[in-house]
Amino acid sequence: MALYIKSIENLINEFKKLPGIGPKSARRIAYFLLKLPDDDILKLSRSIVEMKEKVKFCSQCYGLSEEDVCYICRDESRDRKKICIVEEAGDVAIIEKTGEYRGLYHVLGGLLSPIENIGPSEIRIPMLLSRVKKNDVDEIIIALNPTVEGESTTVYLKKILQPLGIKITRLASGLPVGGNLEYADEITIGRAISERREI
Amino acid sequence: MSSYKAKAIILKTYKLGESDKIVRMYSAEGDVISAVAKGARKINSKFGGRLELFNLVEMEVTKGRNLDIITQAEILKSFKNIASDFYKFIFCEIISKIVLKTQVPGGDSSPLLFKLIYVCFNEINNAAQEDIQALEKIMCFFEIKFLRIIGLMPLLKNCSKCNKQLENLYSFAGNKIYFSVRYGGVLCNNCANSLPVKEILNVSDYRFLYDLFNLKIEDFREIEVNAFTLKKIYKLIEDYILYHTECDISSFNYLKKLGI
Ligand SMILES: [Zn+2]
Ligand SMILES: [Zn+2]
Repeated sequence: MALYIKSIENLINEFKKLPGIGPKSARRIAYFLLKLPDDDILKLSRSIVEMKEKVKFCSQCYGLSEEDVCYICRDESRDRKKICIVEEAGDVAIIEKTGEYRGLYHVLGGLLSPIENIGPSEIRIPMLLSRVKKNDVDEIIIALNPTVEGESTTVYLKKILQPLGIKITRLASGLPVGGNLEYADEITIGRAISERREI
Repeated sequence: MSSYKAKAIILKTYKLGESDKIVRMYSAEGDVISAVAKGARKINSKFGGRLELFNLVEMEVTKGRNLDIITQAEILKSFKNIASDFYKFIFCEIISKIVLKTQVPGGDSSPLLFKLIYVCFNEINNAAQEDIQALEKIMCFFEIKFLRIIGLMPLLKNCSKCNKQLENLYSFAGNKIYFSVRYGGVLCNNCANSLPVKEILNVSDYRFLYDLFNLKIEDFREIEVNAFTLKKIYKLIEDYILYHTECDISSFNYLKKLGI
């Protein structure tokens, strides 16, 4: 029988719940932590608790923030007339990393799903509407995933935002950079052809 | 490890872990298959858009310990117009919900259900943009044929309470035909009188219901139905499905939620 120590196994079970961590890695991390000095362990466990305590949703864009209003929404140098709609809070960081966008965000927290009975109110669409009506917005960029669900939510957003007379754009979709045409599926290629542009 | 090939229509997908996707589908043989596509959510995944909702795909699947694993997939048919029309998306989702949330008995009838899903997705895909009435008409067709496949079709010729054979209602001269969701079909006048809760159909409602049962899609496509009858029968069938299968479709409530 393998060596069984309850507290170690407990920790391994916790690690196994984390994304991308299988039983082997979970065990490796647990044994690694066992060897760390007490100080480091305290720092690690404290930072987990602290993160959970301090991070909340920005009251304007629903992105992650330690303050009531996040640093992006507070930044006066950003283009406040542009709002980029994303599905998850994590998507903000991904677009920020490109350095290509200087506007604001709005995090939906999900996509419309009739099968799960998720309607507009469940994904912060009313908040988006009131935000757009209250502020001077001239462009909305819809940056949802290029899946059927993302696409349908995009179509719905366009339908309810268009009457407000705002320019609505969405992320271009097409071939992934570095990919080979012969491996792309017909939907991807079809989209790339229908959304081609002059060079 | 053993593997198999399957031809199936994708009804639902879930995110799994960092980049995997669980795909739930209905196969041509009449099985609900759940399988994992590893890395399918990565932007440069070999699956690309192949494992997207409502696609008809041909796959190579390896039997796994818990869930089977999709190793290859090719698109046989993709319904391109569904994602670009929010109403079409809703109605296809409702079809998926009915199939996945209802216990469908296996056996000989299941390949029929596969065909029915395919035919209805195809009709929805080809319907005019944002034509809710056309979509409701297709939904009625799907739901009635579905009830027939799972053996829960409403009785339209005999009283659903006392089983008395009724006069030919299709050419009925009066204007009241009684229908009970609970008993599952039309009622004779006697039984109707004894029941406090019943629906009252007129001849045009009844004929539409009757045609739904008996017509093939090619002929059904051609029939005209007035908006009033369509709404009424559509609601009636939803209530019927809720009562007899406990699948709460509530598409009316969902459409109301949308505010469009
Ligand atoms: Zn913010
Ligand atoms: Zn009777």
